[in-house]
Amino acid sequence: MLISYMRTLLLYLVLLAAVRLLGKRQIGQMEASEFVVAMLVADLAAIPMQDVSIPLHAGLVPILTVLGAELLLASLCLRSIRLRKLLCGKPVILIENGRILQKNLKRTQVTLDELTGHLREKDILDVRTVQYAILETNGNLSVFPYPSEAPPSAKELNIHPKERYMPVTVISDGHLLRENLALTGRDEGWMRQVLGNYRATVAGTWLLTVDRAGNVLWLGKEI
Amino acid sequence: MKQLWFGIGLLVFLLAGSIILGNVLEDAHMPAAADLDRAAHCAMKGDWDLAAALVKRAEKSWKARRNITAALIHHDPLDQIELLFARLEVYRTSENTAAFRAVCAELSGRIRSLSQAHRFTWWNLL
Repeated sequence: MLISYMRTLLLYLVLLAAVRLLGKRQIGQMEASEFVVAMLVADLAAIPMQDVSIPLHAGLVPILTVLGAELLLASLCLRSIRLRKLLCGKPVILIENGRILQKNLKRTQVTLDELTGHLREKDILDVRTVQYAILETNGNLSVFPYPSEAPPSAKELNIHPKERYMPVTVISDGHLLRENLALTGRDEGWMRQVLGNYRATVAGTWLLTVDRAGNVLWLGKEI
Repeated sequence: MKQLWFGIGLLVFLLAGSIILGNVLEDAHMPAAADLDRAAHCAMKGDWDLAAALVKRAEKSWKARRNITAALIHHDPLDQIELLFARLEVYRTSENTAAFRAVCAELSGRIRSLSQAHRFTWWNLL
């Protein structure tokens, strides 16, 4: 089992280094270490699953080792900027003031086709309308068009939209969430009154929400 | 902070557990391997009674720890060892010295390599 433990740590570090070398564009939504963990854990769990003559610890010890290593690294990354830069890298500016930074594009191994593809996904056809485009550490591209190209905000148009409040779920799939009801500052008497307006019961309610302004949303169960 | 200590604790626990169980596995079966070597030596000298007693002791020791070993090791080598014990009994009753000694050597070798499979050495690691 010590062999299993040491091999898992070694493989984890090797995979982490490999994924970092591959670059951000390979990873998609996850950070490098998260990607490695996802790849490893699925395969590790399959080992004792597929062959019952293999002892369970052959899968468990590596999985727990990967978990421990990931927790440790994640905590250390929170505390150390240097380690964070080493493991996750830094965001890289690909477009600045309407100009594509070709050197950065080459460094991050992002092709022009990929860049324009990402811009199209953000409804941008003309690169010159982009003030900043930043390749994040998880591989996502953040795009900031010039203010003159961006849709105006309500403030800029001097419009005062209605205040929006976060609705709190009081009933979910026929279950009363007492804690949430208490959060809204209301009681069961109020809830029964609201349900009465819809001629409904708790069990027959699929969703009941209320916000700070007292706006209620009720959806009854159909099945 | 909790996450950090949990991660460290988990890794330390797994490391300690691995070392302890590896040592337990090694210590558990080495006496049986030693008994089998002595039994082969006794058979060569013609002392079949002592050889039989040593084999019986080795088999008893093996069976006593079989289940814990099965929880820690792949099952195929364990099944092969049990087949070898059965063969050993046949050669012992027929007092076939050469075959008895060969099976004793094979059995003690297999038990030794099984016990040392999780020892922390560079060749095991690689």
